[in-house]
Amino acid sequence: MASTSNSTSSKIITLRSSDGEVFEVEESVALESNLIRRMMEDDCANNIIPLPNVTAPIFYLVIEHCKKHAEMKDNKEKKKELRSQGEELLKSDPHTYSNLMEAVNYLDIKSLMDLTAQWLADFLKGKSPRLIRELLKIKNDFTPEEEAEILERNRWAFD
Amino acid sequence: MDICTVAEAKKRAPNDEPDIGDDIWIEILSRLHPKTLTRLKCTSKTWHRLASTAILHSQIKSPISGFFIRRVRFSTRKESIRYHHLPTAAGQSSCTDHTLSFLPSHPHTTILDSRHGFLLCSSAPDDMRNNYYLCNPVTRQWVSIPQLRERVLGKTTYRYYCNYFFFLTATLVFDDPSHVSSDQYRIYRFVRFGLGSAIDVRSIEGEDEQEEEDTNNKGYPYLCVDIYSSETGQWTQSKASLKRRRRFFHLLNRPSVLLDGAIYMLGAPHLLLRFHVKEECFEFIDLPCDNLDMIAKQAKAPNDALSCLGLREGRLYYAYQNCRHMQVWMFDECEPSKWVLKHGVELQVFGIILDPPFVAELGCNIKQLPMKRVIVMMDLLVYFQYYDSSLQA
Repeated sequence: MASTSNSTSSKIITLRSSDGEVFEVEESVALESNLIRRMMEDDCANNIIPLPNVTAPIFYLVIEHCKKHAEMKDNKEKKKELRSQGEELLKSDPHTYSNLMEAVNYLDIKSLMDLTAQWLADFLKGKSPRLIRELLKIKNDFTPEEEAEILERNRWAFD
Repeated sequence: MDICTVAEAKKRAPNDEPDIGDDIWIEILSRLHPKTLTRLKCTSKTWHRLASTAILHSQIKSPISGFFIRRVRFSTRKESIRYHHLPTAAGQSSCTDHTLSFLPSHPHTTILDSRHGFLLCSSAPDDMRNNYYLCNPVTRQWVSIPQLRERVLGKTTYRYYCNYFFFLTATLVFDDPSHVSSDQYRIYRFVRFGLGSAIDVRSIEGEDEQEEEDTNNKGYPYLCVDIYSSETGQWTQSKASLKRRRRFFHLLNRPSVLLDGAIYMLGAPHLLLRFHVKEECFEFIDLPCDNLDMIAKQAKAPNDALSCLGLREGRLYYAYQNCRHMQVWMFDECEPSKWVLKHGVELQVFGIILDPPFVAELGCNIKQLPMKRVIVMMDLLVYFQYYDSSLQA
C-alpha cells in the first residue's frame, strides 16, 4: 500500500490496470506520466489510481521503459539497446506496439512518446512501401491504377 | 517489481489495421521524416490518410533552412521564384524543388505568404490570383483553395473579373499555431476595387463611363477583405472595408506580415496599413521617411522607394532604400514617432551616387548595387524580395 517510507527511497504509488492488476511504482517513475502527475496535483490520488485504458502487460512494458529511459540518460549502450528493442517489437508484434503507443499517449509520457516514434522511424527507414506493408501486415486496398499513380506522384521519396 | 519482456507482453493476435485513435497516430507520425511518411503513405488508404495529415504537421518540427526569393522583372512584370538553401544545423530539411514545379500554377506561381513551413501561393497575376494553393515545399504536399467568384458590394453582386478587382496580398493565419495537430487556418485576402473601372456585371451593357464614375463616388470601398476558413471550406466577406480617401493611397504589391493578431501591409506613399484580425478593422500608421522622399512624392515617383516589411524576434521591421540610403527601422508603439532607426547606410559607401531626378527610376538603378551587400543588409529581415535587374537591359 502507498505509504511514506522513512528510508531515503521515494514514495510508492499504487496503480491499478484495467484488468484489475495492482502495481506499486516509485513516485519518481510514476511522475514521468503527466496524467498521474496531474491526478496527484489535483489530490485525487490518495488511494489506488485506476488506469482504465491500460492493461497489465502493456503497463509492465511502460514501466520497464520508463525505468530504462531514466537509466540510459548517460549510457550510450543502453540507448542503443532500447532503440533496437523497438525494431524487434515492431517486427514481431506490431499490435503490441500500437497498444503501447496508445498507453503512452494516454499516460502522457513525453520521453516514451519520443522513443516510440523513434522506433517507428528506425523501423521504416529505407524500406519500400511493399516491405512496410509486408512487415506491418497492412492490407493494400489501392487499385493497381491508384497505386501506380500514388507511386508516381511520390517518386521523390524513393530516391 | 516483475519486469515483463517484450515477448511476454504479446497476448493478443496482431491486427492488420491501426485500431487506435487517429490523433495518436498523427502525433507519432508527425515526428517522422517527410520521406519516411511519404513511403508509408503509399501502403494503403488508411495510411495514406493518416500520413497525409501528419505530413502537414511535420514541418513545424523541421522548418526548411533556406528561403524563397520572389523575382519581378521590371520590363515584363513577370514573376518567378527560386529557392536558396542555407546550410545550417542538422535536422533541418532542404527543399528539393527549387521552383515549386509540383504546383499546377507552375511556372507562373507567386508566393504570397509563408508560415510554419507552409507557403501560400497563387497563380500569376494574369490569372487574377484567384487560384490559391497551400503547400509544403519539403513534402510537396499541396491543397487547392476553392475559388471565390463573386463579391457583394452594397446591393450589387460583382464577379471577380480582371478589370475591376485586384488581388493585392493574402495572409495565412493559423488558428492555433502552438498546437501540433491544429491544422485549421484562415486566409485573409485583400482585394482592391478597380479604380474607375468598377462595373456592375449584371448591367454591363448600356452603361456609359459617366455613370461608372458616379458609382465609384458613391462611396464604394477601395479595399475589402475576403476570409477563407479551412474549417468551413468557404470564403466569407469581411465587413471591414476601406473607403477611398481624398488622399492618394495605394497598397504595394509586397508580402504582408502577421504580428500579434494584426496584418501589416505596405502602402504608398509612406503608409503602413494595419488590419486587426479579430476586430476586422483597418488602421493607418505613418512610415518614417526623409526629405528626399517628399521630393519623390511631389514628382509622383512610382512606388517611391524599394521597401519591405519583416519580422524578427517578435518585432516588426521596415527596410527601405531610396536614392540616398538604405535604412532599417523597428516599429515600437511606445515611441512617440513609433519607429526606431536600427540600421542605416549611405549608398555612397557602395560608390553609388544617384541624383534626385533619377529618383523616379530608382528601381532601375538598383542594378548598380552589389547584390551581396544588399543581401547582407536585408538579412536583418526574415523575408525580402529583390528585383531581378540582370535582364532589364
